[in-house]
Amino acid sequence: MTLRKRLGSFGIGAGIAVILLFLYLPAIVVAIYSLNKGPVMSWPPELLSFHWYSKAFANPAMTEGLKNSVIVAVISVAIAVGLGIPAGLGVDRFEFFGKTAFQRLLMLPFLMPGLISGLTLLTVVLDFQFELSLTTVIIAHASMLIAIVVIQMAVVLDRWDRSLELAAQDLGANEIKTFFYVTWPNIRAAIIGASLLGIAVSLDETARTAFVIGEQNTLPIVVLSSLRRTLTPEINAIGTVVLVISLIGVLVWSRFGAADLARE
Amino acid sequence: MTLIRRHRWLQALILFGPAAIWAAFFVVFPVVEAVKMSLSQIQYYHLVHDWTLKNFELFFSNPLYTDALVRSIVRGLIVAAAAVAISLPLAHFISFRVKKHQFVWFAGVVVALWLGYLLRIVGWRILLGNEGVLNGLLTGVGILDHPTKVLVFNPFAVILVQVHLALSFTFIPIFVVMQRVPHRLMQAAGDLGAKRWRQILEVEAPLIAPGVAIGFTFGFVLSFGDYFAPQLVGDPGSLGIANLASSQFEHGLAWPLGAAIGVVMIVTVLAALMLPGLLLALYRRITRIRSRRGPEPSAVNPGALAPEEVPAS
Repeated sequence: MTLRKRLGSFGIGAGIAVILLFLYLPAIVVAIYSLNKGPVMSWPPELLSFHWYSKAFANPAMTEGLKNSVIVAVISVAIAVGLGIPAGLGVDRFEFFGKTAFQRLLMLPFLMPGLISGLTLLTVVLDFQFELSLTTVIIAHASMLIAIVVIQMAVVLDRWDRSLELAAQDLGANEIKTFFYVTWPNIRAAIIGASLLGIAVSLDETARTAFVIGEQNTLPIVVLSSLRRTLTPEINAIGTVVLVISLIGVLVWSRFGAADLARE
Repeated sequence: MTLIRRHRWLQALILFGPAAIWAAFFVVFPVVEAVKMSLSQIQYYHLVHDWTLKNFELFFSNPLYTDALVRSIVRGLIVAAAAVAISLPLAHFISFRVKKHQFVWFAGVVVALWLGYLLRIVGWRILLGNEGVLNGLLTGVGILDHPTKVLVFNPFAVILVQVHLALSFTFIPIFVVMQRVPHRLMQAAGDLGAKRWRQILEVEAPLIAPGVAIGFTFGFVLSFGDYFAPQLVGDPGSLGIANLASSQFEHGLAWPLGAAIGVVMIVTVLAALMLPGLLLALYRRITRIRSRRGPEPSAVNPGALAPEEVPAS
């Protein structure tokens, strides 16, 4: 290897290391300062204390927010899955005029900035004088999550052979039986993946939530309002917990995904 | 059941119906409602739908608002360009340099971006703050005598944070298209005497262009619609159109103006989402012209090099 080449690959390695450092810095810093002793996040951190974890979980605003976030995430994922599975099957089976437009329409709440989804929904609430509550938050979240389910359905249905369904029907299974015995086992992994991703996205969603939130806050809204005042290490503690939970979700998902791939 | 089997449209209705009704009520109708509100006024604390263009006139005649719109567009372009510029070498490195455990590398990048939206802003505030990590390090090493306040609460900090936020949206589409670039094509170009840069520019670039365009658009849309970073790490001068839109609903009864700003944003975002398709068509046309004129037959025609048409060896 010539010197020039070696310098070149050293340069590339260093560049990649800098990029990875940039990517990881905020997460590392948040996790480290969640273990800080003092209330001020100054350099160097005084480790190691779980003080802020116990404080965060003793803070009713935080625990209430976490509870509401979980409720919103579970219900909106359930709605998104319930609506997204049939829509995904339909997109795979039917060709009709305006199908692309319909697909784009389902994608729109996901592609548009959260602010626009939240703002437009809020105009309805204001004009018709509805109440803002967790229900409006769930509506905003579910609209966005449908897109994730439909995308996952499109990916998985693209790979499998529809003639299996037709064979089942030739053998006398009706539509419902065909779905549960033939279609469902094939899309299950994708739906579980989409649900876990959906829960993670919903737990973190702030932009649209801030517009349509009522009296009961979700966790990101609690974090947002305390961010507007001062930084408290409680945020780091609860954020680290949520990060770890959603990481476990991703790991579970990749296990399922791996099992799915292995079967093929 | 037989009824359903006989009428395909009934099947379609059952499958599409629920999602279509949901989208009609909670996606389409709210947009219509926002447009309607943008054409209304508040009179005596009541919303009056009188189809006026006053809100838009107010928006476009006030430099405070138009400046914010321009600022958000410019910042969106800078953020998208920077996020793409970081994603490209990273995705290229993982796709072509990493020989083993590519998935682990990919997961390693995505996991870093898994930290919550607000938490990442918190992280950057701790890093850049007055008593923060960077200040601590700089004074500790002796580069600075006193902690500096210029690191956070400025337009640059907003860009930095938004680039970090946008990276997940630019990296993933770029990585996905790079995975589909056949290594054989790059090797073939190398065997035919193309240097590495030429391989990247003439073989890889046309094939990954769609993913880059999508990533760029996502990055732009994310920055354009983000109203937290300017609020939480910016100064008053870095507030953008999204902040103006949200603040109209926070205090007072400026809903119609807020709705009008929302409509302006919708139009901008839709234009941004459609632009990559148009640019891609233009790009294809330009490369085709160039390859027709080019002296060597090896010049790349992206249409002819679509991955599925590469003959299996």
